[in-house]
Amino acid sequence: MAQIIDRLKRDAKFMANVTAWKVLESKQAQFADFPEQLNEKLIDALQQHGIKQLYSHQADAIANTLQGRNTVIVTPTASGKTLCYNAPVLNAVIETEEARALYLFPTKALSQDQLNELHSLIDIVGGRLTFDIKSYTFDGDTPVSARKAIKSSGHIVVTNPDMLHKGILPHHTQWVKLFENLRYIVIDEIHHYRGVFGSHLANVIRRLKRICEFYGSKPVFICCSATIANPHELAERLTGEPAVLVDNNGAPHGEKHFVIYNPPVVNKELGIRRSYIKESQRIAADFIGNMLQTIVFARSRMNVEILLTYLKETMRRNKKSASLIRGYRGGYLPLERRDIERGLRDGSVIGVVSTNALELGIDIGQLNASIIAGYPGTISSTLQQTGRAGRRQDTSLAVIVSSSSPLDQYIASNPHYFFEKSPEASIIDPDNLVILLSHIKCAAFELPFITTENFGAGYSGEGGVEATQEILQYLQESRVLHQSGDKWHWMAETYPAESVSLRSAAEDNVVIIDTTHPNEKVIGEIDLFASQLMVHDDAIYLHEGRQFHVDKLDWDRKKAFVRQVKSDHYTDAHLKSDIKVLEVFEEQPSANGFVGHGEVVVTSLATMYKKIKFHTHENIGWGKIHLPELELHTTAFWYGFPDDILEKLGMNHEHFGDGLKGVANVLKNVVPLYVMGDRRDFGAAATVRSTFSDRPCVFIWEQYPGGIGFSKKLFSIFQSAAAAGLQLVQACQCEHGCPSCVGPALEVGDQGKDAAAAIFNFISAQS
Amino acid sequence: MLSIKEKLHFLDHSSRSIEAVEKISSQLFDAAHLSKLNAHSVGDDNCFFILREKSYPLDFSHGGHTLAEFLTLAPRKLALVSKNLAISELFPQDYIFFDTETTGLAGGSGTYIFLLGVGFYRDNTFIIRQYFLPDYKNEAYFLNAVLKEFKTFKGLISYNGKSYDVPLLKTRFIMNRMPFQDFDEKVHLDLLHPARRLWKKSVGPCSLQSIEKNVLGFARENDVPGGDIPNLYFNFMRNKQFEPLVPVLKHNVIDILTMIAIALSAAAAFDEKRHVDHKVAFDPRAVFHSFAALGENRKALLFAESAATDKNTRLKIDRAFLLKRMGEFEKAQQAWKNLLADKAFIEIAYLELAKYYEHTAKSYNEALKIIDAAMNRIEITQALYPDGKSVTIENWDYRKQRVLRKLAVGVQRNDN
Repeated sequence: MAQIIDRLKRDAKFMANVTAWKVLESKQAQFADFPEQLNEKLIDALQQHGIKQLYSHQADAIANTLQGRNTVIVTPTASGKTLCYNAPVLNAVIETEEARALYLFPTKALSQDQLNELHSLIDIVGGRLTFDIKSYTFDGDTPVSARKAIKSSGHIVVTNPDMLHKGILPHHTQWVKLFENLRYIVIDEIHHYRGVFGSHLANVIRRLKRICEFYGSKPVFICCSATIANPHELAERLTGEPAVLVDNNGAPHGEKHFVIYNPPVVNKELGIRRSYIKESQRIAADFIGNMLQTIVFARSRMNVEILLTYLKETMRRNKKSASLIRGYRGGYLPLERRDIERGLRDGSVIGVVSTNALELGIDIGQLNASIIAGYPGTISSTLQQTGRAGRRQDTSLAVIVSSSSPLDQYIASNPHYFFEKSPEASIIDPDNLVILLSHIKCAAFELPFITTENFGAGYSGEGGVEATQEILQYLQESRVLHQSGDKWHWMAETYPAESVSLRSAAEDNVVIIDTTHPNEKVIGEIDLFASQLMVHDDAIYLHEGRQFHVDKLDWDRKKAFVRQVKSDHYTDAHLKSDIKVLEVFEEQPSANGFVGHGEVVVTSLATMYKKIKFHTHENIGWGKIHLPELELHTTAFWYGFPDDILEKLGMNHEHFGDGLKGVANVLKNVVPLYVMGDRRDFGAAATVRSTFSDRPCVFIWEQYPGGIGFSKKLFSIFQSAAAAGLQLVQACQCEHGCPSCVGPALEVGDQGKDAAAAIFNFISAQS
Repeated sequence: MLSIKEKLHFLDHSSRSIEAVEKISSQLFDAAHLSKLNAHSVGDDNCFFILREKSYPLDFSHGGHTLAEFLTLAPRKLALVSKNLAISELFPQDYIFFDTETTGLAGGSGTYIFLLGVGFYRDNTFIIRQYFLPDYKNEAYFLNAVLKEFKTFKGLISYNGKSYDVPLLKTRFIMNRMPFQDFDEKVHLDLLHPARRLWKKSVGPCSLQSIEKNVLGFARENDVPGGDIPNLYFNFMRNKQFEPLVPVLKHNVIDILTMIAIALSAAAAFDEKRHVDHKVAFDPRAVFHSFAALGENRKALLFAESAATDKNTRLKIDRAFLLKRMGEFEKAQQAWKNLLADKAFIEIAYLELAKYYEHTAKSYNEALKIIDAAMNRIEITQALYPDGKSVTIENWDYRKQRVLRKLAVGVQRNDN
């Protein structure tokens, strides 16, 4: 390893593309004694399991949970966090056979893996007890025949939010034993619960707590999180209870090298860089050729396959066994996955190419090097992925290879952003009305609401949703509830949880159906707003590098029928967006202008599309789009310019308009630096004369109906976002704008990039 | 600024359009009207339920049977119907028939029972009592009365009650923090299961209505479709008009009366007098297995001998296996030979005969003959159907080698 590092450092060609090389010093373990309250039998078992002492964070976490405090633990990969919850849970069961715990993991695969770890501990503890400790996974794959036993006798029930929401809570009367004796609720990987998913989960937890209260239990929450800006806040919002933060990681690690590598520019005009996939493959081949156990993370399943093919070829060329390299992604069979995991642990697999499936806590041991092909979108993911490399003592190496996407380029030119404290916050809004309404229905089905009840009130009885009763009234008018005495009862045949999905947006999506072959196949799904632009009649829809012609968009049935074609052009639809502010939540002056956020209605109408030739970008025709106007009620952030902005910047109308469009594009791209979301979660529009203020305005709105709090966050950090936007535009090596910064020159005009820079300068200047 | 409700109107696309809520009549239940329906309210103005009681004379006939027939049914017969020995300890008067009407079929804690009908025999009449829940808030009071009604009976009779009505009742009890152990302790005869065993082959899905039509031979007139029932109740909750619910009460009464007829028709299948005329063919194997399950092997054999036809070779196999279990090896062997002669289920017959000669009769030469015949046959069928045989040629060969070894040992012994 030291040799490779030394060689890379002396390789001038390699180093020319390195924008940062940072070394994290090795760290000794910090140990602490077992907390006093921990049962002797458990301590014995742990010692027999090879755990003679606890790391400091483990001891802290366990001590807190044993004292009944809700605890959130933030530690890096491979620091022994599962013990932080397994220990108090087993302790409770050892002391009271009736005690129960519920584990929530975001995915099925992960829950399977964590259970293996738990089982090995239970095996040892079990020998010291007069009864068996039973832990079960309860999810969609659990056979019906096994369910009864799990319901009545499972000490530890492992499940996922979707199953809790649809399968357990609505049938809580079958889980009396569990709910009466529930001592701990473990929520692992809480950083996954952000945006819409997190807002849903917070409401599922509200429902869970109502049911616990009904059965007389007050479980303690134990949450685990990867590094994000606001783990403490997130845990408290998800659980609705105050929590203690434990982040004094006591696990040791070896010296760690982080390298940020930006592939060289090959076309300056268009801002095109050498393929980050090819560059990643070259670096990986080098490492693996030198027998360094390496993991390569790619952003999509397709990229995994491409990288895997390249790397296997390279191995064969070098007369080495191609089976030393394996792929790992969703869609592989469980047995195959277990085989690969074992191979990584015992060293028979040297290289693995994976999607973020391996980012989660699946045990593959610790490798020598990691290569991240394309910034995964968040620092927290990046850290989890780089955390895969680095044994307790040895030196490890992580190389992050930037793609040409704006966010990657921002990280490449601003590495300090990555190495300093994470600014990314997981934002959720449990009170989003659409989400809240869905869960109040589910909750009313589960247990009648009392006419003084506030949904989501804490264990203290305080807090909760003030509008609860008003919403219940609304539901009575909608004929799904009925007030009788001091309670609101469910009064519909339906089972409300069935129609509420925790993971997707509330609105219908358009399903894309490939009709190329006689057996039609669903190849994707996009939201209504995007569908107007991407799959209108006669659009060319690009999917995994293939081109499809949209034969028909069936708007009523929300289906787009496409057929694979070879086309010399693509289509670019024009969307007319109009934004109307319904209510201003907050507004204040900000550097030369003003910022605000509030409730808006966005109407969008696709009117026509252009046919644009590949490569030459020549406009070769156009067509009309006949689709109804869409309306979205949501929340938005805005920046308003002063009246005399044109004079101040010395620009004409058109020039300023192009720049403003660029500013909107950039802002939309840098938002994920501050809120853990996705570009698709936002819409952006610039108006030179907004109907709202009569002045030029840039709006960033949330694509989810009602919004989930991103706008409010943006309002509070806008100055940083604007500064990041300016840096992104300035650092970009293209001439007149490219998709990595303000958007292609075609869209923003030749002067768009300069104008955007000038506007950013204006809005981020201190007044 | 928008109110929460206004916002909800914008955002909520899932709710149905809101019609004007009909005026709730202040007049609750008119005693005179109720008494016309043989009903009255129980409780006070704040908390009550409606109880409807009607008694039927024993000569009342429904579904081709009189109510009296059930009273004379031997306990053993019902045990055969249910394939459950515990049932033979109960007399017809010990049972309570019951059926619920609910606010939905989805199940879960938001589904309510709003009508529970029970039926039982008392003083030479059959009494049907229907408990109706007029308001959610009275549920605990309603359930308490229901619980008392069940208390005095040792056995339950339902149609699909084990997986539908009882779990739902338990849920309602838990929701009202009331005990429910009673339902688990009582003997429960769920007629759906015997109905499926006896008639599924000939009538298909065994819904109550399908059994009425295909087994009992009648169709309901002006019956309210099950799917409409929840909404009729919801409408009642809003407008308190009881009249539209009367057909639901009738529906529930017929459900209970039909259970008696089903129990009787099922019991008739076990009648030893073979001349009983059955409107629909029942599956004789079900009858055979019920006899056998209750240890009435002789009756099972007699039944099989009289019922087995050339079409019904499965029954012949069942009979042969029973003979084997009973230790009647000679008879069993003859039964397998008959099956071989019939050329039906030959693989099983060969296998059982081979086992018999090898393990019981210990005539290894006979065993070898059977094994060779079976292997010849299997080679042919395997060529025809490469998959799908549980006994493979390898299995047979293994058996053959073992028998050959035994033969050799036997020869040595004889030499000594």
